[in-house]
Amino acid sequence: MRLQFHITEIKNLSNNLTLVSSKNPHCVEVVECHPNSIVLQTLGVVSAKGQLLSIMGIIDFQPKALEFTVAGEITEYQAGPEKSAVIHFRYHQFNKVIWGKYIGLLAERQNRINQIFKAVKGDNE
Amino acid sequence: MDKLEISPDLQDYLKNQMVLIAEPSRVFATSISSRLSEMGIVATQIYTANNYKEAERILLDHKPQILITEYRLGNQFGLNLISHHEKNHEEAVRISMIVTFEASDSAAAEAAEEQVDAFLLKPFSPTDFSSRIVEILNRKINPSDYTKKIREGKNELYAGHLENAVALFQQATQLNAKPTSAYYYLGSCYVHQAQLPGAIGEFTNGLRLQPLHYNCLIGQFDCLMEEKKYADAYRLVRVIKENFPVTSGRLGKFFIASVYTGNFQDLSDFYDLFLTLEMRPPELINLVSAALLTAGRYFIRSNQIASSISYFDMGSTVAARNIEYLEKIIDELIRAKDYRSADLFVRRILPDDVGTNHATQLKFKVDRFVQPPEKMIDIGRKMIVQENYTPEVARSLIQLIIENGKMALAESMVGKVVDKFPELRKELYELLENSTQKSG
Repeated sequence: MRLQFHITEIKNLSNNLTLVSSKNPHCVEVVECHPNSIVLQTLGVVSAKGQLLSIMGIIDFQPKALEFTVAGEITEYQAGPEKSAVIHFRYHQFNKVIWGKYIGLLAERQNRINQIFKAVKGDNE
Repeated sequence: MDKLEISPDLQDYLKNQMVLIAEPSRVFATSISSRLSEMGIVATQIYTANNYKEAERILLDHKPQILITEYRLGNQFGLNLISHHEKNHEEAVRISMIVTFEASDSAAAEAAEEQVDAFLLKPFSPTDFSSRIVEILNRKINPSDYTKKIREGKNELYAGHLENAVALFQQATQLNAKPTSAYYYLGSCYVHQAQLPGAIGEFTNGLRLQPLHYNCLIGQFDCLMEEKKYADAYRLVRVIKENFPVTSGRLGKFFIASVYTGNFQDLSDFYDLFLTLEMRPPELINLVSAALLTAGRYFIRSNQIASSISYFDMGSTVAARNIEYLEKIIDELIRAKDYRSADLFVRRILPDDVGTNHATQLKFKVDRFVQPPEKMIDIGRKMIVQENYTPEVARSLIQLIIENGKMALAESMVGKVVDKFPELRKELYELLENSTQKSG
């Protein structure tokens, strides 16, 4: 079962410019999810610490998918090689129920995998 | 960002490690690489590959001790890299980790069976990632006496020194309150010597301590299958299926045991499991489709047509509507005189196959029973003239022509057919002769 948050659009709230759209969705990937924030890795996306963004995406709960929109701020910006960057994005306004469900399911899913691993490996882990 | 404290010892250890990250997503590869650098691995010792072939090449050329791979690498599976990795380094010094979005139970079980040390789901936090690496390293660097003994035994076992291995595993049984793995490996030593009853005995010892010890259950199941004790093996199928995710390799054996023990009714459950598998190797597809065909045949002979159609239906899906497979189903249904169902399977012929000689012949086989004879005789004649027919089609057509009293036409068709298939001469002329005698 895949449980994924696909970002479909990122807009700069200060000037309403679109940074990521359906034309270039591969330039951003969600690498970490936390209760009130996410960490994104971007390629060729111009942004900076303190910038206010709105992020739109779809959370694939399989078989259902829900739209998720969040407004927030870049709290950390680490430029990497080849125009890549790691962005820490703190949520200001978002649907806490949907995001909470997603975070909960992520943890549940990893716990289940850990249990399977333990059961299969036994005392030889 | 939370950072994990790493002891100086571990940092020293990590400095000498080489890593391969097999990851199609550049973003994740960069993220994992930065985590590893933060942990102390020298950046120039971290290799990345975005496809299977490249990963395989790096494994062979550089022999990294740490392998971090996605579950899926294009059309290939990251798990297949594990066997290369195993050949390069002993268990004590190698680390392999799957980092993936694939969260199916069977994928995790498959990885756990394959010497993978951890299975981490994306997206993950850096702390999750680093703590998992540290946890594995601690286990590898500071093993318990029991684990050390098991490792020594495994090295001897894989080197083919079975007597030494047995001695070490026997010593290991004294070092743990529930040494189930030691019994499992003792059983494996017997398996290597093809002494299956001895192996079953050791697996049973393990299961006495831990009735649901996966490896002992699987070891026992495999031995019973090897000994063709299918009924005993099938009893274990239920235990394994109820308590553990089923891997693709195991599922194939479940199908075999089910067919050999006549437990056809369980095949639909196994079919559902098959559909949930992330990895469906071609051998498994062949095995499952053959088992479903056998089940369909069984239900036809038991006069349970609805069940047989249902199994044929599953089988044709698994076989991707392969025309040879559909022909086997159609032949069975014609034999059972269920022409309507046979016609349904003719309609399953893939668009790419429709219009080919094979498809036309198959359609004739069925239409011969459902379409007006005049029309079929006409179609059959054209097939003979165009030399697009099999001996089976020829037999069927000539029979149909005779049944409709067109003896002159039958004789002319037989003449044409024996030109192409001389081996049919005797059979077809006898057919003509018998029908002339009857009508005379």
